[in-house]
Amino acid sequence: MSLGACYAQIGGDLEGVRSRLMTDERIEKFIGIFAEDPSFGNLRTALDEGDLKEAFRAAHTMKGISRDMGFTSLSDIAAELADVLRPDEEGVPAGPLERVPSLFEQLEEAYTRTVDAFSMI
Amino acid sequence: MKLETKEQGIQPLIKAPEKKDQIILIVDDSAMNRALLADMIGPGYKVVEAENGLEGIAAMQKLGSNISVVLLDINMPEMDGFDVLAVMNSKNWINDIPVIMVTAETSPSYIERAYDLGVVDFINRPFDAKVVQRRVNNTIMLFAKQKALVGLVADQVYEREKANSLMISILSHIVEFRNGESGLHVLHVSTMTEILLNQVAKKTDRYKLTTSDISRIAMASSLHDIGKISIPDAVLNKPGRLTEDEFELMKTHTSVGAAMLADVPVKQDDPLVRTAYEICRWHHERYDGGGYPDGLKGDDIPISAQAVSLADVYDALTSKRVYKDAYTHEQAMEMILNGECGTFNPFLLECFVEIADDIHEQLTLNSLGAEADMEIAHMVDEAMTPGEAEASSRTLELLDYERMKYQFFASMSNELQYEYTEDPPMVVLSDWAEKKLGVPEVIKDPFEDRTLAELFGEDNIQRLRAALHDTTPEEPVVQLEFEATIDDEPRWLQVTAHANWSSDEVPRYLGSIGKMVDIHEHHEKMADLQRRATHDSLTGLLNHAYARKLVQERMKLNPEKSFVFIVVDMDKFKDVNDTYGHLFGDRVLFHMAQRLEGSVRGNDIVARVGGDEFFICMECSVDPDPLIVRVYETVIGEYDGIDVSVSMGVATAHGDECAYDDLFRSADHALYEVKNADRGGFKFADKILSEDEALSALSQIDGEKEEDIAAAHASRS
Repeated sequence: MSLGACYAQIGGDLEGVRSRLMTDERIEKFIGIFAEDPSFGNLRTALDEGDLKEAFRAAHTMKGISRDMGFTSLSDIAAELADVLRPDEEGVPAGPLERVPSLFEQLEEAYTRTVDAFSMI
Repeated sequence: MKLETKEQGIQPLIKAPEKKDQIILIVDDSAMNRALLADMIGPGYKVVEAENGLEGIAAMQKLGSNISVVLLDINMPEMDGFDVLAVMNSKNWINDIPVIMVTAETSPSYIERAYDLGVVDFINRPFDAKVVQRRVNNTIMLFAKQKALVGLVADQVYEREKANSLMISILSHIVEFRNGESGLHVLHVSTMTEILLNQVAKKTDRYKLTTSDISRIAMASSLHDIGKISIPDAVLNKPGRLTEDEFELMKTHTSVGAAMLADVPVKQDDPLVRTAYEICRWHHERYDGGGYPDGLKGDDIPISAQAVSLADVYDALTSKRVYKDAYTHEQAMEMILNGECGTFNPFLLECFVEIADDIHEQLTLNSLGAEADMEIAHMVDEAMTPGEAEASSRTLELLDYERMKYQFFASMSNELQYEYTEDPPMVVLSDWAEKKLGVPEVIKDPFEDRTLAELFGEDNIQRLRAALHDTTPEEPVVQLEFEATIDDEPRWLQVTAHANWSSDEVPRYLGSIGKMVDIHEHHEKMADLQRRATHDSLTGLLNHAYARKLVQERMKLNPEKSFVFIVVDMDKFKDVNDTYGHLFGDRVLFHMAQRLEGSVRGNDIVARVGGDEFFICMECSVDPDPLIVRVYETVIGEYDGIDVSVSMGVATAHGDECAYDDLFRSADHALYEVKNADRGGFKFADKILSEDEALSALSQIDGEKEEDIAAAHASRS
């Protein structure tokens, strides 16, 4: 499957990525690195263990790297989750924490869809 | 000599930095972020990666201003981006190492805070290759230019300073040559003025002297006699006494010199010119108002002129002149303090007395006599030779050099060096520590750190901390020894540390630097020596001298308690030695010592007096008989085929009743009475014997035993 088809399948922003990362070669290289990135796993573990500070950091990283790669929907969900988990000066998350399970579910769905789509390349 | 001005074109000094020399530090917890940034920056640069703030600080500690730019993430574990910036500020790195913040945060408060902390630029998410390249390149170029410019300015200031002092030195020497003075007078006055005023500034802030004031006064002091240019040779160099008129003429050198400076066409408000004016005009004023030309009194005379005046007098006294020989330092001191050479500010004299030795030493060092002219010629030559004075980026290079030197020596020496700051609470360890002890180079909150606590012991760390807090800015060094656990083995370390205090009125504790040295072998040796000094090497019991000291202390502490002294002697030990050999004899003695120790309570004292004679001291508030019987019965019996029998003499007294020696002697005497009565068993002394009584008692003992007793006594002495 071509890069264009993959991005189309997940509703990603290929044009934006091309203008920022300059070459398709570099885009493909970093899609590979993205698939190996431990942030998603870290996020899951942190949520399982109730470590909200670490969960925020992982969500925040997810948001950043998926945005870099033009994975718009994934990045948007990660951003929403990061905002809910974002600690204030006392380290208390912004909340509401009731939203975390459903946001994580959406994130997992988008993440899996993204990684699956690109595993074809 | 031809004067050449050095050409300093701008273009060769500032050139675009070479890519391969540039180190870029990327501090980000996400590996993908680091990879993306490194990829976008492009090949050619040397990229160093750090996974969190602590690693970033460690990298900066190591590489210093060799880092061209830092790309710094905000959200990181261990130490976040803002903490890193805080550390960079506290260590003043932020001025030498530019930081670009990498962030998806767009809130103005974040950005403002980052700028406040010294960030030069931002790279926003999502990363754009062109933006990343441009920002990095621009920052590197900008800082390279800035560094080169700093270097240029520093060079010019340096050149200017050098030229300044050279001109002043030449000018003042013209006066001296004419004067026929020592040729070093100007140098001496300047040196002494500086030492004197430093002491004044140290003792009081009454005169509000800063370091730069003092060096300016010292420099201007060279001009104190320029007015003498106007004095005719016949008067200036007259060998005999000056007439009244001549003296009046001579006195005008003060106001003439001042007038010359007042006529300087430019820079009238320059501090150096003003200071020189004060000195020229008023360096012959007297503190009591009896001087010239204006008859100023007390502190109306500027402190600069007061100091130069004293220095002038002192150097005149200790130098040879046409009309007099040189006085010694001590004579000159005495004459000045006796008021034979004018009246001075008493406080200034006090300072003078305090640093007189220093002055004497410094001026003697400078007394090169005829070589002085050569020195000047040499200085001129040196200043005129281009190349040598190339101080280009001097300071920066020196700093980098020092860092390299420090790191090299730190890694060579088998010692742990550390640097600790209170704010932020962080300790940085040297390479060696990292390699040998396996602890990280940078540790945040060291007092909470498990690794450090396990290594050095929490108590020891707290002890060191308390000791450092107890220091003062005047005496900031502490030295402690403690036991650490290295590779699961206890090791003795010696730590020498220097507390850092702020220069505020009430000094604040800022942190400390220090080193730890492994002194385990040394410590063991000392402990061994100490043990040997107090113990008998064969039996491991206390030796008699040490036992005596311990017992004397106990008797003194417990005057009301009853002390029991037992002196034990093996019967016929000489026969054992003769029959079975000394090695066997030694084994018997060792065995005997074990039994004796086993027969008494833990805090009783057991010692080997010498030979086969032992001593026990017990505190006892009841009838001592059962105790003594127990000792006797434990000791006697069979050992390795031979029958051990002993004789014991016992004496008791209260702690304050008699002296140790008398009590011991009495027990000893009782022992020989047992020996005398065919050996075996024990006996109480009839009474406490004085030295004389003991001697006469000894002589009464039967002749056949005399040999035995003499031998035993000899073995003890």
